[in-house]
Amino acid sequence: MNAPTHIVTVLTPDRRGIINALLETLGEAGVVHLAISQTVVRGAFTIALVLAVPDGTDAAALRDALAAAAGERASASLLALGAADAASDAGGESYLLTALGAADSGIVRELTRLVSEHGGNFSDFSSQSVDGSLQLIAEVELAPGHALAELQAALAGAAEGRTLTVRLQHQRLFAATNEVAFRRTGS
Amino acid sequence: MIRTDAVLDTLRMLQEEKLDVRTATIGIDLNACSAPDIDVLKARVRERILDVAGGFVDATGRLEGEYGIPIVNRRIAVSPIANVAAGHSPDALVELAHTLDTAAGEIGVDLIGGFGAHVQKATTAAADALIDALPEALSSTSRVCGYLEVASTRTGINMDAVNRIARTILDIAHRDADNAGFAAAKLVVFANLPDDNPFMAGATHGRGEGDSTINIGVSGPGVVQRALERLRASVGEDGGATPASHLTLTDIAEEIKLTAFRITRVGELMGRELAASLDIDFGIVDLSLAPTPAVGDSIGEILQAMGIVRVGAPGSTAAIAMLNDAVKKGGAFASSSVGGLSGAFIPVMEDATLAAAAEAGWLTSEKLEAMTSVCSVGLDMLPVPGATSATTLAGMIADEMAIGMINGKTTATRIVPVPGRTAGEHVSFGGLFGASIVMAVKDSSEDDTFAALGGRIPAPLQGLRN
Repeated sequence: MNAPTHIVTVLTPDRRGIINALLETLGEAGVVHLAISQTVVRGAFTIALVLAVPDGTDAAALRDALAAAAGERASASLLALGAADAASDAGGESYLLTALGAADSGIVRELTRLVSEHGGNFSDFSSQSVDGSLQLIAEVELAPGHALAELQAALAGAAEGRTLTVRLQHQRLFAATNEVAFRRTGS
Repeated sequence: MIRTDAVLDTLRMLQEEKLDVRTATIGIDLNACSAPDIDVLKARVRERILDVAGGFVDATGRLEGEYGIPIVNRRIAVSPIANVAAGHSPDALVELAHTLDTAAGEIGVDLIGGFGAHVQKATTAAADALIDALPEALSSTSRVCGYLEVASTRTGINMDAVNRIARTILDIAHRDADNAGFAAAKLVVFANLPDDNPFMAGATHGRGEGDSTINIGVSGPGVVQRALERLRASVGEDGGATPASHLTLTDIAEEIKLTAFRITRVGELMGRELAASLDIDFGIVDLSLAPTPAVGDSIGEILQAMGIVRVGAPGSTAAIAMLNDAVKKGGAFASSSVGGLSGAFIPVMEDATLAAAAEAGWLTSEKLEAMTSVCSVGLDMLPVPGATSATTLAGMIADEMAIGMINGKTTATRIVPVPGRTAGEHVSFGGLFGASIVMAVKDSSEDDTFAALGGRIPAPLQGLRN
């Protein structure tokens, strides 16, 4: 089984065929991709590739080849994974932080600060402000024994006096209401 | 992560459509508490309730925080008291009702159900004592709710019991005349009562149930109403005031199914989590849409969103049949644990739109009866003149029981004779019990002898299924 060795991120103006160009480059180099996360933000293509780079392959050269394949204005960065990077799952609970309403200045920073101060770890984050409206949806991992009510109260406090609704709810609620298969968690 | 639009859909249900869990009911088996000494029985009952349900209210509060979903009502349902207290006198049963009332207060719930008996075929001495105790038990306690099952598809209708409970209802109401007969609102008469009904006033922890269990009633009707309004607005040609020509009832049924799926999932999730946190069994999700007097929480408003502007007008029965069916289809796909009553409730006093339709003369007790043949549960929270005769009441109960018996479904009556008031006068019980006009009832008791003949209406052919 291939073990992940590197993560490469690529940023470039979006156009057709970028993912295929990147995978062709990886194939030519004999590199296996283990996971891909990709999105387009305001016209900018961003991708993170988890790779199993064989011994003897020049990872930096691979990064440059991927940047070249992505386009003239592309940039790429490379992170070599160590043994300690593999076990990041602390066995916590997954919650969704949502903030919908007026995109007041500094509110996203304030919310992330509160989550950080309460020991939360963002595992997925999406935030966009359009015409003064904020839509933030983020997945937050909270360690076992976390003080959920305290964090919820702090987040609600941050929204006070603003036209904004901030919620922190267990991720299972959203899975239950949207997925066909019911994940049995209780008795 | 879950798709953004899916997250937003769920948040919209919470934020704009009042998604909630309508009731969490903890069922508790009390049969092991039986004792020949009433004081011993009362002590055992209290100890058992506090032992099983001691952490119930706190646990529901924690869940509300975890998921951000309100749990509107917390209730307790216990084993049929006629069985638990078999052999005791009516006076002893009244004492036991007070014990239940006090224990429910100590737990922090507003209602406790199960003060009832099953007499669909015949009345035992134990059931006899319970029926005798009902007037005092219900009029002298605030939280205790009672029921009597007088009919089933397998047994027919016990008309002796129907006649007796009709007189008992009048007795209860007149004892509580200072409260406009409110105590009668805590008594339900059933055909085909399910053993796992989580909704008051007929909740019980019946035969075949475990030592203790959590049963859940799904979100109220507001979610469905707003989903339909959104659907109509999305295709409306003038901002939603009129539907576009291509919007059909099939589209509406699909929207109801999808909404029912989601609210059932929320109920199942919360129920399982609650049961796990209390280390007891999870029972069922009851799909019933239970309205409250609040605006935006009404079955009548759903019917209006479906195009029945005047609830009770022709088309109302078809509309509620479609609503009831679509809710069941969506809910049954969402959960393998559907149970209880699982249908749309049409309690006149507890639904402001139904109450308004009654006052406007569109919704009559006869039309309500017709509507109950296609939905759950029956003539519910129906205020009638205080002078209504026992014979007429018995006839109304018998009619509703016959609908349940023949159709193999649960039907019920929760009729409140309002002492001193006549048809068209107003009555209000406040809070969740709501307000309405006193409904007119055709009274031909001077001439009719049918119900008074008593005996048993035999079981229909539908009961012979083996």
